[in-house]
Amino acid sequence: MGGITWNYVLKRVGMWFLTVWLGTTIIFMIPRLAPGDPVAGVISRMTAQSGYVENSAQMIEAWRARFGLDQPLPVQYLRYVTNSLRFDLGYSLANFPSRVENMVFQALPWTVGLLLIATLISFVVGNTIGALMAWERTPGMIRNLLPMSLTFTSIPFFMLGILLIYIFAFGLHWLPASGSVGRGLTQGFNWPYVSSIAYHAILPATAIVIASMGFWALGMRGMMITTAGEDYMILAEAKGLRPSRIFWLYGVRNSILPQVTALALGLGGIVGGAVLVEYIFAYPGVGYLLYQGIVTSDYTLIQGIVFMLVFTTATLVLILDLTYPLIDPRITFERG
Amino acid sequence: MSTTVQTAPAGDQAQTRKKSRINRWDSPWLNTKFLVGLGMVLFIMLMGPIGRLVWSEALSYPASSPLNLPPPWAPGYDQTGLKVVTQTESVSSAATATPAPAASDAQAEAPASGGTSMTGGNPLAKPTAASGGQSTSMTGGNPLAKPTAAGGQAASMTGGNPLAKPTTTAASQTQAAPTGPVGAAAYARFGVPTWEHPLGTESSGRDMLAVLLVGAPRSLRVGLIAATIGMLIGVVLGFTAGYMGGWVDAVIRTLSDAIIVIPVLAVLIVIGSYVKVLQIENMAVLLAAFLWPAPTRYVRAQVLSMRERGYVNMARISGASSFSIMFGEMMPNMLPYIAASYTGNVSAAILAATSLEVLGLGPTRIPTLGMTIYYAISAAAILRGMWWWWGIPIAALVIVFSGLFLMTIGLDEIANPRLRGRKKAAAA
Repeated sequence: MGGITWNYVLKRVGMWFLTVWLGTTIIFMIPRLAPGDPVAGVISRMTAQSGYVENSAQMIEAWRARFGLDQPLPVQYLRYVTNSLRFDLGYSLANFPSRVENMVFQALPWTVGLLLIATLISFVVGNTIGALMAWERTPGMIRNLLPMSLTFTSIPFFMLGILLIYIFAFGLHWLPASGSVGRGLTQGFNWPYVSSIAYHAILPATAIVIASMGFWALGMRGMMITTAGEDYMILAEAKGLRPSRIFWLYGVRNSILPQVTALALGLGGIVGGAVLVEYIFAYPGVGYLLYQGIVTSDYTLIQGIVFMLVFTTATLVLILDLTYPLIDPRITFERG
Repeated sequence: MSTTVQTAPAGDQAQTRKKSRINRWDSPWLNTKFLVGLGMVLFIMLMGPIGRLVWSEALSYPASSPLNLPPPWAPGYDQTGLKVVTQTESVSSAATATPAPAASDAQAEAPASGGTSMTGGNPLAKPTAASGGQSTSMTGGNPLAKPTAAGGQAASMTGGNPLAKPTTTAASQTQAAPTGPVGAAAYARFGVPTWEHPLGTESSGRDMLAVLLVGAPRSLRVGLIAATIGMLIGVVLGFTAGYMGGWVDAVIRTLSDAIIVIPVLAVLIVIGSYVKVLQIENMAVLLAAFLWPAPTRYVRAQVLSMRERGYVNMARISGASSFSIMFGEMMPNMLPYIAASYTGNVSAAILAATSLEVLGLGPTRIPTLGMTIYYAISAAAILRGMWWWWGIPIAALVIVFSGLFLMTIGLDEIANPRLRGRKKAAAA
């Protein structure tokens, strides 16, 4: 059994904490460093819209007190960090009475669902294709996928998304171009609702899967080429093991480890890419909410979402890190 | 067998290769992938300075060109501009989309209101429709041509009528399938493609070729600046961490491990939303703040594996300073690794900058590729069938990304002869 030592767990949790803290600090610092005052900015926008705002100076003061901006900086900072960690993300500036955390938690399942499924599919399929590309017994057809995977690796998610919309939604009318679910369906776990969700998710998920598959395939191919030259592979063949057994349990099993590390390191990029995919597809996840926040200059919403993105990414990496010793027992001895 | 290859320093292998060279062209740096990638990147990079000589940069400003011209070389757009319009809804949108003085004319309105009740305009009106119809929508020409244009659209609207078929222009037949009404409607309101605008124009009157010439080198520049700064920080920190070890190493490693997890784009969005308009240089510096962890990790790992090699020990014994060991002895050996990491970073920086622009947070005055895509998306160019608007910047970016990616792979093969050797063995 891969023994998880307490030392290792503590270190990983410490890393998680450091990441979340760093992210929170950066998000806290940016508005304080940026030129201009967000509250004054909101007031000046109101002035521009309605011509004149009464008691704007008092309003600015009232808002300052409401957001605690009249306190000294360290106090503000402490309050911000503790509030963030309790998911108290404040009120949205653009749609005032609603709270940011509620808006985010409504959108989060869409994003997490889409991303988890798409990333899982691309990871499994991409690694399998990559391993097959480096395997001597595979037919030439799969080996010839290499140039294709090279091409698709370099295309960002959202560009592929635009292409897919143009071909399948605009050109062929096969799939919907935007949204996450059809109108007029009762929410809940019934067939029309679930199938509509799946129907709407096909295009955005395909964009993510195809665009990231090549990356996994290429990495896996490189690892498999290295693994194929190892002595235990030759021994396994000499023993007369079944080829499928050699392939999965000797080849893939030993080549997959760096890929899992790459997944943990690449999650931030995948999340960032998904933001744009949601924006392109008007998919009601966190990314689309973020875009709406940008359009309406809703600073608390933007900050809240970015905090949640950092938090979610760090947590996923923590989970990956904690499961890593199970697939690679050496890791606790190396780092721990 | 393989273990000996692994422990042998990269420099030794380069030496043995050098001995077995066939001629002077057999250098590992003449890697096909690397050179092809370099060519692609140089093509985009030189596009600006060279294109400026033959093409006017001023055409990238709004309202400098006629609106909505498709590229003249594209199939499916005949030289007179008018497309076959096949179905009711398409005609309605086409009619409303041409705001001519004759729009209130009963005949022009008719197809919009009741397409099916139309008896179909007389085929005689067709040629005039094909020739003059689109020019009205573009230049706002003579209003007299307008009713005939509407009549012509109505005639082609009846679609299946074999009499109407031969009079419509031949080039457009393939594109306007009866099942694609939206597409046909979109084509009908484009202008007459001309070679004065080889890549077409978009809805605010920018010439796409000029946008490409101005925007593409700019996008590349962001990446180059950001990656260079990030690389410098990364190399210095990586060397320091790997060579010094101890608490310095622990701090640098922990920090880079933490930062690499944070989604760069998300943090940049916060900055962009506060600063509103990020200039290219500022954007590059901000990007660099998130690009250093990857090269740091890379360099550190390399230094750790090189630290105990013979030639490093030799240099240490002979009294070389840490600095000269790092940059005189180790650095040349990991140059290809660093270069591969650099090209990867350039592409990551371009992607992040473009993403920011696509969300509307980049520079707004001077066109960049990402900004063009942003405008295209907000003007619904995808659903209007104006593929050249978003397609051309995307094509340029894909060339850049593919080029950088090929360079990265090529450099990996240059750095690691195993990849080269194995490939031949695997292919055989």
